[in-house]
Amino acid sequence: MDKARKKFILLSELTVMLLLAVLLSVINILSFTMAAEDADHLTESISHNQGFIKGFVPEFSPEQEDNAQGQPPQETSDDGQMTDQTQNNNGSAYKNKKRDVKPFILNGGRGGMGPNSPDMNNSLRYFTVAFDKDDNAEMIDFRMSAVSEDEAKEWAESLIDGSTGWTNTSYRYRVYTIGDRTYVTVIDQGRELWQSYRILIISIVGGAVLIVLSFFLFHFIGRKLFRPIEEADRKQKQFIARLESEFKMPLTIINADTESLEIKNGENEQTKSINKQVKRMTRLVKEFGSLSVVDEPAQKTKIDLSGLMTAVLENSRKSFDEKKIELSCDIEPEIFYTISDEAIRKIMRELISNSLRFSNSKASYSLKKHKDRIKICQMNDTSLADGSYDQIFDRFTVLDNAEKSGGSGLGLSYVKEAVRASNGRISARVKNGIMIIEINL
Amino acid sequence: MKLLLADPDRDFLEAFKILLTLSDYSVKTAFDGTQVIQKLHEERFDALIVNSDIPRISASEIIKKCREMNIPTVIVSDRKINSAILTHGMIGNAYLQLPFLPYELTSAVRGVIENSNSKEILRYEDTSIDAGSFSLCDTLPVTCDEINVYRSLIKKEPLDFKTYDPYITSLNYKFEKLKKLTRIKYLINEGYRLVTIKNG
Repeated sequence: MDKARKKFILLSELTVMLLLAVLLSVINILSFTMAAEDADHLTESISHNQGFIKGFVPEFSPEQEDNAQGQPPQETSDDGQMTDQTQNNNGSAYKNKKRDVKPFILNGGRGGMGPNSPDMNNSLRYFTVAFDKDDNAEMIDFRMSAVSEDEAKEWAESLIDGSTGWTNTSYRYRVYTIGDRTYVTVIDQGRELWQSYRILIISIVGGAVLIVLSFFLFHFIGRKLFRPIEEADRKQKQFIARLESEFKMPLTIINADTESLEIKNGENEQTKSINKQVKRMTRLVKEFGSLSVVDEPAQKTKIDLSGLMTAVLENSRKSFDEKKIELSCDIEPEIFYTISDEAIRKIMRELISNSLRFSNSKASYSLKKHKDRIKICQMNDTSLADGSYDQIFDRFTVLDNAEKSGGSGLGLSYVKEAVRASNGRISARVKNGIMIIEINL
Repeated sequence: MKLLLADPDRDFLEAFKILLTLSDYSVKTAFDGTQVIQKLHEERFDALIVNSDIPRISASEIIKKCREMNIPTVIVSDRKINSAILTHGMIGNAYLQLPFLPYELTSAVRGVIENSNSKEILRYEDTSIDAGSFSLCDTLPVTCDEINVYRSLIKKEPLDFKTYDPYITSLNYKFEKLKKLTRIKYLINEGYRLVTIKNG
């Protein structure tokens, strides 16, 4: 039961870890992707506005007015109103006029959040450089303090062969052509990326804290959840142990009394029947006893498993012959294992007893060692349908074809308990008419 | 043959007193440890059958007393016979686990009495069992069943594996404890045999 609780905690913890990993990954991927999309949206907007941020109109010098290619479009608002706003952005030569910006519904509209919001545009750090056919660079707009205008031109020149992407880690650029001039716009997305990195750090730290907290939570829930089951299991074992104990003495006394009657009056049908029923009950009580024995601390010794299996099987060969069951063994020599001697002998005897009862004509046993694991395998032909039959290890479980054999449903449950007590695993399945019971130690 | 039957369950005492009497034994009964000691001092018994959970005076003390008086003992217990009990538990001369069949008790009684009266010394290589004193190499106590297993092995008689399973383990443990080279091993085509292992 302790193992079931640990399994519950482990599985719950793994589920939480998996869900957290998926959720946080999605959040972070979206966060970084959206930072890139926002930047692309802005550079695209600038490209549509011939190198200027939407909503700003530069006050042109006469030289610039002559240059039709570099002239930004004059925008008017829907209602024809015009607002003036003069800004000096890091020594830029342009005085920008704030014009009406169409409400950007998705990003919150006027005064809201997002790449099209007016205040966001004010705080945008970018530059646009235009190149003519002779590769002469002209600064169209410059709103950046990390580099000088000359450095910005050199930077733009190095990007002219690309189309769009990241440069210098946190700068997004776009290369586009208007008329015969090629424009390069570079936007600083450092602040937005830093937000994404902060989300990443919060995700990692928060995720770790959640995992630790959930471990304690599941530990607590596991204890609460399994306590009644453990209690029921303990009470069941106590009940069986008490039942066994309470039955022992009366059975022995009935045996003695019946024997006395037979000595005095001779054997008759009644005494024969009593003896038969008492023997049946005695066998059942002894099987009850086997279950409680599993819980007792056993003396574990290093056992020659190969020798023991050979001995037990060879001793049982006569019984197989009597039932006309062909027995075959494949025992790898020199396999040793530390286990309670009584437990492993009992396991073997129960397996053999099971095989003797339910084999049609063939039974085989194998013992193999692979790395540190030892595998004991019992196979016998059966008329059961293919599938998993792990329920045969549950107490008092008797399969349909076993009902007539008089099995109590306790023998294999002892095997399961004994295997588990030795940190092993046991399984039963039918494949192509062969019942396979596998024990991994 | 005079037997002392000691058990806290009076129904058990009654039933087995009748049965053993019918089997030609003279039986006295006691239902606690004080009565057992008292009756042991009053008269000489050929064997004592005692429940391991007898009240007032522990079964271990009673067995110790019987050993001093050379009275063989049969312990009746509801605890399972296993090698741990045989090697570390209270050592009587025979051990019966409840529930048992009447013939198991009578044959155990017969076995302990016969052994205690015999002068038989069983020997194999570096080990020996004195059947009369129920001792292995004059050092460790052995039960009647362990003597029977050892005797059968010397005579190379087939062993009933299911019955003698714990005794094979306990004997091997005792050989090892005494640092003897004798062991009981299963040999293919021969069955269980006494063998001498290589030193070291």
